Amino acid sequence: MRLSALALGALLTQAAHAAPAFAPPPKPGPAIRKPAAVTWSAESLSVFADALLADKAGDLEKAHDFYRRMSSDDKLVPAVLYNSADVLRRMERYKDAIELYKKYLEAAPDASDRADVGKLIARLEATPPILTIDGDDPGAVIYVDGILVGPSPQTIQVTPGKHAVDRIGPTSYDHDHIDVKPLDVRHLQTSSSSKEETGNVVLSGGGAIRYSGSWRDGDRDSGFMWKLNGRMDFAPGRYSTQLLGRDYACSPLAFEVPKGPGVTFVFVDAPNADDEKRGGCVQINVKVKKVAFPR
Amino acid sequence: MIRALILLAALAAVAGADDTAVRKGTPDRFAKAAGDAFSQAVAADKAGDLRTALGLYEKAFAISPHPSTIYNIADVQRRLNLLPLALKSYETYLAITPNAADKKDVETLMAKVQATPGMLWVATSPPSDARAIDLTNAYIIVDGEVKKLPGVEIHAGPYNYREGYGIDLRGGEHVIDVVTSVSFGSEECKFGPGENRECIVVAPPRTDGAVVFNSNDRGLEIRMPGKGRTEKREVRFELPPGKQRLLLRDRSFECPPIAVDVPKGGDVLYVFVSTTEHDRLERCRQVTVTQKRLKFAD
Repeated sequence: MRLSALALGALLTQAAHAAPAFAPPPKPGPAIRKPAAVTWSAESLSVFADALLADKAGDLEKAHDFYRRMSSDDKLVPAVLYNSADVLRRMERYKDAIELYKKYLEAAPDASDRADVGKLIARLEATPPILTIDGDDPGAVIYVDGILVGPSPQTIQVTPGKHAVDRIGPTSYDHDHIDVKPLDVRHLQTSSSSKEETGNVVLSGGGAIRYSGSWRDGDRDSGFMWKLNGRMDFAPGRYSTQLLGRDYACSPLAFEVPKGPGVTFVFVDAPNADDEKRGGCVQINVKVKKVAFPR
Repeated sequence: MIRALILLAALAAVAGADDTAVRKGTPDRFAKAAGDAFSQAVAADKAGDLRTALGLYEKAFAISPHPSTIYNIADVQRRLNLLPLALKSYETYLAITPNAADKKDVETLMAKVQATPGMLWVATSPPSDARAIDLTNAYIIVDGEVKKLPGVEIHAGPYNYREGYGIDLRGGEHVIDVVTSVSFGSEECKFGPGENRECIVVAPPRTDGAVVFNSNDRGLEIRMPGKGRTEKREVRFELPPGKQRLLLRDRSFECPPIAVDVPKGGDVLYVFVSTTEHDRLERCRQVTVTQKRLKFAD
């Protein structure tokens, strides 16, 4: 019991360390199990032992199935619910784990670890959103909010809220605009069945840019067609356009496309776009990066 | 103290069908029926009638569970070499006595029981079957580790097993791959600690290709070369010689590609990918990649 309390304490301490931006999700921490009682039937003890053996052998799914078989027996409920929640926590099925920890507290209102389990629930409820970003075009790189995360695939934690995700491959491009909350788990995937994208400039809009689409500078026939959240072919040189409208943005969107091969990633955001409501112009932030594909 | 010494002796000798008894005293809170069964079990145990003792201990435990009873059940099962059952009974003992004074000793004993090797006997179908493999001239690879080289003789089987090749192995689920210069067969075989298992592997008579890929999980597949998208495991296929990348997929998730160097001539590159993570993770799981160059004489 003392060991179990210490382990739960360690699990809670782990929560105090905030993950850096775009870090992989941390491991869920060690097992913390409740024992059986000698008052249980031989059959129940047999299933409980099967669950423990499966758990210790790493077959968490099977362990969960064994516990589920037992959870209808009222006498066993607290220990079985707790252990089942613990297995789900280690499977990173946090929503399901929280539900079972709450049922455990209902079933054992006088549990000595009530406060610790309450803290654990609170910590799990604050689990940052997890994104897995991948695709079947090998050699792609991933940017989140204009920041390079690394080669595809990536699994990362992000802060709750809006994010722009770009996956740029040698012959592919995919942009996702997401709004995520704690406990969300998303899989963003680029499929090679979508059309081939080979332009030398990617123009991506950040989480605060609330629209996407295309527009044309100049006249209908000769004007340059821009595409936000798109991949285009640009000749080397300096470019400038009005992304948010002449009377709205403080400055045009301007950047340089260098000579030579490779892809230029242009990330534009307008974090104070809501200032429109309070009058005044909107500041545009532009980041320009050369994309380096992994060999 | 005497019980502790006996337990230490049991720890030292667990690998075989050790006949050292390590009993606990009569439990004091048994219902009369359970107590009677327990006493009879102890008597049968002391008389060396382990099968009867086991049945009576099990009867006592079913009437009224008690730590001493399940401990003695485990002890008899261990001496009868019923090691998977013994493990479960020891686990039950620890589950109902989490603060047992002998907890560490029991855990050590369980680890030894768990590690008791079993014997995997790899065989193939009789020559009347076109899918029979030339085992003498084959590599036998278990979980990515080469266990037999071509040219090593096979033997007549023990028990009523077919002619084949025996490998001492820890209990569990194992992937057995058999590769010859012209064929590839695979089978998954499971057995418990201390158990013997015959595993029959067959293969199509001819499968071309300089690369063999397999994994320890059905979700881990590689994308096959060529147009159209297909993912496979348990597969032998052609790739041009030289440095290549195998695109690994884990269920619906893409994994980092595997860099390989495909050999020229008749040699085969064997690639095995394994994971210990469960298959509900919403991402490509952590994998271990093993690569071997299988040489075949021209």
